Amino acid sequence: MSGTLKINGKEQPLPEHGNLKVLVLQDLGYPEKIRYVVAVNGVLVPETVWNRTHLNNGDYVDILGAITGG
Amino acid sequence: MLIFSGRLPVVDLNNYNEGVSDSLIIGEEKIHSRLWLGSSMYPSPDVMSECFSTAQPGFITASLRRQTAREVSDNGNWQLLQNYLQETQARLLPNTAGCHSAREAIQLAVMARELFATRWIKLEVIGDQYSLQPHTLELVDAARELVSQGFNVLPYCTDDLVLCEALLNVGCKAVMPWAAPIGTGKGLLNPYQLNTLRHRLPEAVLVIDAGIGKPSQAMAAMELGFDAVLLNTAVAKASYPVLMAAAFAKAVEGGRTAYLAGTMHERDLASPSTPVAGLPFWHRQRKGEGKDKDKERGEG
Repeated sequence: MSGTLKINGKEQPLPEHGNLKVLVLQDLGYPEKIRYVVAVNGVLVPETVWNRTHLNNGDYVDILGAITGG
Repeated sequence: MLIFSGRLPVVDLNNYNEGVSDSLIIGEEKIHSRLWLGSSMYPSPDVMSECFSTAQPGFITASLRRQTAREVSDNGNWQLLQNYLQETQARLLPNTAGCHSAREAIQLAVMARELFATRWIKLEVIGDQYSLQPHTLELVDAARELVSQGFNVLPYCTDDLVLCEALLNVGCKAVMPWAAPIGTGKGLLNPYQLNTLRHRLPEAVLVIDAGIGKPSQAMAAMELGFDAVLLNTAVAKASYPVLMAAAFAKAVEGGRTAYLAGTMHERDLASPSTPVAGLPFWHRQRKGEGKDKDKERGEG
């Protein structure tokens, strides 16, 4: 498999496994016990279905955490 | 209901007017304070926490942004905020700050609900980047969709009466008009219009959001009959934020009490507050004034 992803706005190679859960937890090293949310192409992907979510060339992945705000 | 404490009558705001509660209810949920605070721009997380402890806000706003794995792990502000929320009655109010279309705001709101585990959303759709004026058309579209998805929508809007009515008609639990542009601290730029909102929308929950710079301005909003005030910069950027948080808490409470008490009617002519009857012997009738006319006048 070849292609690219945009992760938080930065272009990166599409991994061979193409799996969202592996990408987030293993490749990118996000923690498991702290809350954050993931969207693919602007659509929220609940954590329960990360493992069943396949990524394709050109997808953009956003990983959002809490910040302060007014 | 009056409770006498010492020599001064104290109004029990929870039971004023023969048992009618003054609790702020929005969407069938009781909000324990009419002062709401943002969580941004404080000098430190500790100062932020201390401000919250001092002001006891009903809502605390927060947001969400792209974060790296490290930023997610090292999010001290969020940890402090979570701890505070768990220990108090304050509620979290995520916002959609930075969105410029209904589509963006809806997407961010959905992610906020998942992240913060709450149906409350402060809906922001900016229409003009310079003034940060809400995009009124996109705002109504976004509000309609989010209400249909079960959100408790609190939209940041302008003080336009027709817009506020439209937002309420699509199911918003309250409307939150600006007093002045975000972060300006200019206070109530159009009190006439804000007063009109209160009178034309007597049943609506109205919250002033944005533009408040001083406690006196928050108090003025509450005296007009607004149900709550949301602010951030005025506290976070004060020389002594914790002290300012205390000042705002008192101002909001004072303004609310004044609204309940019913302010006097303004008048153009002076009117003596000291009784005229029984003026002492040295009082002289002014030349050219009759006795009756003289009685009508007074001096302080």
